[in-house]
Amino acid sequence: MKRATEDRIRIATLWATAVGFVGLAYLTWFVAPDWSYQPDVAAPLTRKLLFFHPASAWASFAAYLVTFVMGLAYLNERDLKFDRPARAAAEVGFLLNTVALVTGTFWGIQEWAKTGQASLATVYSEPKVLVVVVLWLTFAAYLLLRRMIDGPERRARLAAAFGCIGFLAVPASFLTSRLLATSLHPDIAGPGKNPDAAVSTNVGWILLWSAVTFLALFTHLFLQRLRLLRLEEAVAAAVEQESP
Amino acid sequence: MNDITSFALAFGLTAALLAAYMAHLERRARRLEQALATLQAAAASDKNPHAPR
Repeated sequence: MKRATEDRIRIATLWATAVGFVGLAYLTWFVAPDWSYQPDVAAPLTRKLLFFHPASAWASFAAYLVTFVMGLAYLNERDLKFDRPARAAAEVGFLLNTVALVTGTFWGIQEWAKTGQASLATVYSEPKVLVVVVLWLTFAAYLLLRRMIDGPERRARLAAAFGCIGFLAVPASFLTSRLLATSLHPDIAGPGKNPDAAVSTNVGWILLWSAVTFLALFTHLFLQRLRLLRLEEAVAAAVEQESP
Repeated sequence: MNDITSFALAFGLTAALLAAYMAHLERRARRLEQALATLQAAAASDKNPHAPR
C-alpha cells in the first residue's frame, strides 16, 4: 500500500472512530432497551457494557489474526517486511484484549454474582474467561520477548512462531463456551450461539455499530503504530549515518 | 460493588486506557518526526557546508 493512501486511511479511520463512539454513546443511552424494568436482570446499567465488551474482544481477535497471518508469511518468506505489521497488530490487539477483559470482569462480577461464590473467583474460573486470560498473557509474553531478543532476524523468527502458537487461543475461546456445558459465558453471535442469549434486532444493530467502531479504532491504531515503527527505523538509520 | 460503580469503573478505565494510548502514539510520532527532520538537516549541511542553514 502506498504511504499516502495509508495516511488517508489512518486519518479517515480516526474520524470514523470519533463519529462511531459518539453514535455508540447515543445508541447506548437513548436507543438500547432499559433493562432496569426487567426483574431478572441483576445489573441493568452494567449490562450496557454489551455494546463495548464483545466488540473490543472481536477487534482484538482480528488484530491477533493479522499477527498470525504476518507471522506465517514471515516464516514462509523470511522477509522482515512482514515482521513490522505483526508487531503493530500484536500491540494493538493486546490493548483491545485488555479492554475486553476489564469490561468483561466488571460485567461478569455483576451478572454471575448470583451463583453464590465469591464474584471475582466465579469470573476467573469460567472456562472462556480463562482461555482469554491465557491469550492475554501469551501476547504480553510475545511483546516482552520482542524487547529481550537482539538481532532482527532472530527476533522476527521467534516472535512469528510465538504469535502463531498464541493465536490458537482465539479459536479455543470460540469453542470453549460452545462445547463446555459448565461455561457461564453466553454466545450472542456466530454458529452455536445460545438461544437464551439471543438479542433483539434493535440490540443487534447497536452491536453491529459497536463492532464497526472498534474495527475502525483497530485500523487507526494499527496504521499509527506502523507509522511509528517506520519512523523509529528511519531515525535509527539517520543516527547511524551521522555517527562516524 | 453496586451497578453504577461497576459501570462507571469499567467505562472510565476503558476510556482512559484508549485515550492514553492514542495520546502516547501521537506524541511519540511528533517527537520522532522532529528528530528525523533535525538529523536530515544536519546530514544535508554536512554534505554542503556552505549551504544556508
